[in-house]
Amino acid sequence: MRAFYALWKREVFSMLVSPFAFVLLGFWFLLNGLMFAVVLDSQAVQSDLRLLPPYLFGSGLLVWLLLPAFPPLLCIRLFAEEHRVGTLEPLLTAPIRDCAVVLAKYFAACVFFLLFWGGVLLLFFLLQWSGGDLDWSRVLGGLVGAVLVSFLFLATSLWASSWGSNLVLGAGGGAALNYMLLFVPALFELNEGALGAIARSMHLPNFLDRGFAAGLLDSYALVYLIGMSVLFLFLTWVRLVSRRWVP
Amino acid sequence: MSRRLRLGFLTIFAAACAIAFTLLLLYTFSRPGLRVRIDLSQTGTGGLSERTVSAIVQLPEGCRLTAFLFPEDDSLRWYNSTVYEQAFHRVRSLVEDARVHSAGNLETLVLDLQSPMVAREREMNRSERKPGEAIILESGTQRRVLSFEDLFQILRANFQDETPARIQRERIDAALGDAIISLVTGATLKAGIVTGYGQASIQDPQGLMGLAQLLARENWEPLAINGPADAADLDLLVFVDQKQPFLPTDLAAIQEWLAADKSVLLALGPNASPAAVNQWNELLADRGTGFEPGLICEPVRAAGTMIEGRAECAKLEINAERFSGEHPITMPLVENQRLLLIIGARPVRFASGTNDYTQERLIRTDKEAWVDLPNPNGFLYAFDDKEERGIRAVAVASERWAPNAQGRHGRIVTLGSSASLGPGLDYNRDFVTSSLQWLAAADRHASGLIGLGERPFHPDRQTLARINNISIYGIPGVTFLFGLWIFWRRKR
Repeated sequence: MRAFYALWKREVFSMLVSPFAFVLLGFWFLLNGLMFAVVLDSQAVQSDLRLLPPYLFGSGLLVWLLLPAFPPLLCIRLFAEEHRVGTLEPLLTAPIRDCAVVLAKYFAACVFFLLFWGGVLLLFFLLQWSGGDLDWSRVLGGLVGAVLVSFLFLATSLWASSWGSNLVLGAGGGAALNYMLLFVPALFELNEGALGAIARSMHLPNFLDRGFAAGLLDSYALVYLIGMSVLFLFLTWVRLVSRRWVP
Repeated sequence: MSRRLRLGFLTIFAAACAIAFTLLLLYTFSRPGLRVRIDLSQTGTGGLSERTVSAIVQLPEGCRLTAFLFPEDDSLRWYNSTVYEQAFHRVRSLVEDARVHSAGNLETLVLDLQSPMVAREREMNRSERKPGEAIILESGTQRRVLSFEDLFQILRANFQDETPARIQRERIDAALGDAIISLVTGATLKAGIVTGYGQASIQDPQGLMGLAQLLARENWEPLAINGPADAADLDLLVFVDQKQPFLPTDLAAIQEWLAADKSVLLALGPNASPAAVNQWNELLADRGTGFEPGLICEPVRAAGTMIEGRAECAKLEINAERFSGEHPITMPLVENQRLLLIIGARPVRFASGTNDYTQERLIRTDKEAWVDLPNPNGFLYAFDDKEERGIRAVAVASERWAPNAQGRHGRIVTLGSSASLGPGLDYNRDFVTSSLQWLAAADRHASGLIGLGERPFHPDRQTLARINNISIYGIPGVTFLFGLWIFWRRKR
């Protein structure tokens, strides 16, 4: 546990002192700020502020375009970079369990990604301070949903990062996986029968838009997001340790 | 076998096991019995009400709900109105809630303009959808259709002020609950709308077509009949205005109907024939209810003062304070702060009758109201010395203290306005729906009506500029500067 904590602290610190991470964060805040300003300027949102959380945490452009792209960029340095500079092998042979390595890196990325959403939450505080009457259950519900979806995307990105030393493959693969998780269910959502039912049960924007951002906490959505995150973490662990299974 | 191949097989096997386990876990937790949805909203109205959920649970297997979210009424988009955006977001959320609560028995499909055209066409043809219909519920051969107006009460755009349309009230949960309950119960009651005494037609959109459609949605089969003599096997008689008194055969039939304690919805406005009014007063004498002459008027507030002498005085804006909080018809309206607009009403008598019946004043006026009596030039809409100000009853409900031997309650709703069930129906839909349920002896104990508070935000230019500056330049700028500082520190 101590080794896990030490590694987690090291990863968080290395992110906090990485100019690249702050450039990412700055771009994230800029795009979110632009989106926030545009949406807030619309008649629809001004006539009912309850529409704002779904725009920013649900079916808006943010979820469809930005959210899948940022976690892979944050995660490439976690395994792919270590692999490239040759520090992964020493880490995996150090006296720390392999699953602790995976979890420490994952939770470090999660903690840093909370900063991403913290900035968005700041925009809602700004709105409240400017006289907007917000339904905080929807804002916080939407935020919880968006954070959980981000954690899922971080897990897929971590897995992609573990594929090898190629940074482009790590980042591109992670983004491709995330976009697949978003778009494939949307493509088959209207199909009848089992295919349509499966697609609807995996539809991330629906979880956000019709559940979390509407102030409704759905147990299945929670299980899906956490379960899928655990699955990708397990796949990352398998990718890293499987070479030891065959002498 | 080479090491690389064995490694590949082992990795794929481990990954396949993990995926299978995750799918099993998801399948297990997607089962309705294990699925929970918690409403976090401040008002507890983010999801469906308890009443609707308990109705959904009883739905038989294979039910289907199709929502058609098409913005078909252009006037609801004028002046940048956002009625459709708000309404559709709400429908999506509640339809999803219905699906989750349905124990797998309700298949839902939401179609909008972004849906593939083939899917839209296929569903519209299959369900025989007509323009304006927003939700179609199907169970076997039975179907219930909800129009956009059934789900939301809209305040239309004002051309003079150029103000956009907006959602005034929401009744999607109530309408969905009613439709599901009627699907679950299955049996359809028959309602006869009397049209043989100068009443409007049920085919006329300006007449009683809206009422007939509302009856159909509330699980009644609306039938146009000439008079009470044709109503032998019906469950409800509806009279909206009456220009002539009953013929002897119909008079005998209605006496027999009332004696059998069957239900009546009676709306006689100020233009009803006095002879017909007198007949009804005699028929209803033992219930202590009936109609009085004249037109109820109230002063209109305009430019900070109260104005009289205008036709608007006959449009009564009835707020929740003026409903009875004790009666099943009006209780949900009080709880949800509903507002009615009763157009052209005569006073309804609210006196003591025989001890066999109980009466309840459902809707009353303000104490400043008066009854405008007609003079040769018609109504003046102005208070004069011959008239008297005071509270008047606009609608009264009466029923037997206890059901008769056949289990009938003898329920009658008397309303002093016929226009409120005709062209003005949209303003009084909640009241009429609630009345029909009471008349069908299907009182609602838990209402599905939802009172929504509005959360508008109209910042001035300066406030908006400040928000934009902080969100676009402030927060990202500070972050970039921080990154630059770290870069500089690391370089040193």
